[in-house]
Amino acid sequence: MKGTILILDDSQAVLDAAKAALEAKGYEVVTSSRTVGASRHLRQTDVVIIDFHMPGFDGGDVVSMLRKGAPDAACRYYLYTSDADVGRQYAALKFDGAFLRKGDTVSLVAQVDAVFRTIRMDRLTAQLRSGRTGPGETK
Amino acid sequence: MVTSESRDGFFSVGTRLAAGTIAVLTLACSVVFFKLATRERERILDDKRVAAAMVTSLFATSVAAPLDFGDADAVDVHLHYVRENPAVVRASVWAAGATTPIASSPPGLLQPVPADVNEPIELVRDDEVEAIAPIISRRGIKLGVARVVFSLAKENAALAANRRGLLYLSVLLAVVTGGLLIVFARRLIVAPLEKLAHAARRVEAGATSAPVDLDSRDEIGRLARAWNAMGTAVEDRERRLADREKRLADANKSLHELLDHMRQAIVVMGPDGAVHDEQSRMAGAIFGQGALEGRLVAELLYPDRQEWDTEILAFQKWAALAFDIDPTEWNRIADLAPTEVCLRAGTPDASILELEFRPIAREGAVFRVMMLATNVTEERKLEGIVRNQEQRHARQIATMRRLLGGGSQGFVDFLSRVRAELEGCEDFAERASRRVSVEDVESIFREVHTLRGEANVFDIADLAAEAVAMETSLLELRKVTRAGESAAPQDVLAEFRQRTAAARAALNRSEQMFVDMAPAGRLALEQVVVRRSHLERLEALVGTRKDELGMVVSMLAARPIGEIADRLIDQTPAWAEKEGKKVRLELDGRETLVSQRLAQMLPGVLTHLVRNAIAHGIERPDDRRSAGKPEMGTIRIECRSDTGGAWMLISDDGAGIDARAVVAAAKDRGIPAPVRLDDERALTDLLFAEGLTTEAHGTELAGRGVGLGAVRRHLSAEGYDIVMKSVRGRGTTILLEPNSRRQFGERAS
Repeated sequence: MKGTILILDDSQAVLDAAKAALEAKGYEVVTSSRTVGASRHLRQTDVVIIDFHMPGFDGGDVVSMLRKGAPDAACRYYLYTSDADVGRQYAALKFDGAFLRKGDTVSLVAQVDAVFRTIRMDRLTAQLRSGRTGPGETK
Repeated sequence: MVTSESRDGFFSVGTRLAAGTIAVLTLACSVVFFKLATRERERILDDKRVAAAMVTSLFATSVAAPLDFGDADAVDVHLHYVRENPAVVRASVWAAGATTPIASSPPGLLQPVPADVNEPIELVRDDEVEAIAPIISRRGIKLGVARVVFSLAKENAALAANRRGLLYLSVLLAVVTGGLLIVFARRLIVAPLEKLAHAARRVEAGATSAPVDLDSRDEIGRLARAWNAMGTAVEDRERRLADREKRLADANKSLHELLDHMRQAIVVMGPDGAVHDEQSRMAGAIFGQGALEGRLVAELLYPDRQEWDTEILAFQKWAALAFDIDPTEWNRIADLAPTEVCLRAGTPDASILELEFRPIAREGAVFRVMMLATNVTEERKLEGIVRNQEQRHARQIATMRRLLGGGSQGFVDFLSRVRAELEGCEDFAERASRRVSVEDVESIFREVHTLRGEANVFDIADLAAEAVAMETSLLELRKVTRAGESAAPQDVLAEFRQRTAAARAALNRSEQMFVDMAPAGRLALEQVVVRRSHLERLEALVGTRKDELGMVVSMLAARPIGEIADRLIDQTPAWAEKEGKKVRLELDGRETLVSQRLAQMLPGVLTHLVRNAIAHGIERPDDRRSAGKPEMGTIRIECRSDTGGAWMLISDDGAGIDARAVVAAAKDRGIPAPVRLDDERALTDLLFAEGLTTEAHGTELAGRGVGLGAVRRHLSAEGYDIVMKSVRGRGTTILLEPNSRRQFGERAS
């Protein structure tokens, strides 16, 4: 298993398609079209993908709520939007990054792959740093 | 320049040697001859002195008597005798104690009185010799002194002539020697040296070697041989260097050709993330013409992306790590690099690249990273074509299948939801022409946005495009609504209405496509989700009744055969590929309903038959080509139903059944075989007998001899018969029909 992803989107069809595509690539995918109760999945999740235009919610509200609901979860939150202008403001909206929605799951998978590579790179960098500080120092 | 140098060479060696030799020789000869002349003169003077002494002594003796007698005249006579000697210049006689001479010749010449002389003495001067002798009487009394002066003029003249001759001789000798020396020096030294100098100038002018033809055994000869040997060595080395250069150039050329002909684009990245050094020609073809040098690799891989794009950020992070890591630990980051990238995604010239990264280390650090990009677009396309002949709709159909596989309900729901949403949009347009609020616009915007996302998921591009246009109209509308207008502008609304109508048309088109694709056809639109267990229970309760209720319940429980057979369409090419064959499956009559029990059994039966057709029926592509058939074989499943129930025809355009092989295999296994090979019913029985196989070794798909036997057993349990017709070289047709009817001849032919 390459990693666990939680996808929040109001469209079940979008969720199904994304789940199928990501599972085909070896990810474990949890989907939800409701934000209520989503935070209970967060502890086992590496990446959360949130659709920006969910009826009744803005993605920015959702991420704030999720962060509050599970403050110690180590997952990364990604905004999923077709609007590049919104995507650019991901940091202001308290996201860790943004996926540009291009209407196909291929590009979503490529972007998710990139995020998981980044996560592994961060781990490796931390390992290398601790290796370089020498055995005498604690991490 | 050359002439002046040659003249310098001539003066420097020939002339200087000759001039020096002449000078030294002249000096030496002069010294030697001077010494010889001096010695000769001394000898002559000595002789002259001795002669003078003798003459003077004789004279003194001859005048002794007259002087003793004081006879001056007689003395004078003797004096004249002496003077007759031409060499005598002067002569005089002195009496003892007298201050003036008794006699003197020439007369009157007074000479200084000689000192008291008791012994004869000689005085030699430059031009004369003076001899003085005492005059002694017979009694031994000293009577006086005789003095005679001899001239040396004659001897001196002879000596001078002699000396001049010697000088001329010595000059002549020196000149001759010098001349000879010049001639020899030219022949032995200057000319060979000039030859060498000329050869050196030829080398200077660019010749690889200039051999010199000198065979003398002296130093210059040795120098020439050394020069020639050096020339040969230089030539040899030049040849080896040229050889090596040529080999290097050849290797370089082949490397470039190799790189250029490789399907991989090779790009070398520096620590700044930019392209460095050379890259292969393919790199230009893949990443666009123009100089790649200095361009960022991230931009090549992800052109026109936002700077916050996750793929770009991940690549930048990876590149930084790649140049930071110890080259020996490369494998720790190798699989963190992107393995694939899609260039120009969403456009007709999209290309898929497989990526590979390799480090170039220098001094224990990663100095460059080489990226190898392989364009696999064609392979992917080919794979797509094999899976599905209709390339244009390949993606859309795949999506539909995926959705249908997961239950068509989702798409049916989507269709009705979108239809309702579009109606909502029409209502909205109606309302908005009178009065519109921000909330109203935003709510409808969200619905349209969701619609667009779903349309994208289902790959309904035209619907998604219309939704985008609707969104644009709504954004326009939101602007004016915020500005406080109560009624929406008519032009914006008209555009929105038009787009909504276009979206509805697009929806209708995709609905039609769905119906065409759906296993159950138009039935799919009417399907609802019901628990199968409930249906089974219902059928068990009333399915056996022959009245209308019983029939309705059987129809409820029945399933369209498309639901069962559709997945075989996807699996067939993959199965065929494992056998090295190309096969596609066509399904006709997917709406045909089959009973619940048959539906449970059919997947296994059809799988067996299809795999059997792939393994035994369809030939390999080259065999098919030589048989004049298309490379890709076709298996066709046709389903129909009539009053007797559903029947299925499974046909392939393969090689047909080898009846002899079947009979032989049956005999081997002790199965009773028919004698007549054209008895198809008997042959069918044999083929579907348990435990028969004609394959020497069971393949992965078939040939284990259990499949077909089991197929028949299962089918007959459901009241189904198997009828088979095969034509060698043309193919095999298998009919599965309820045993209540036997009409194979009519259908299969």
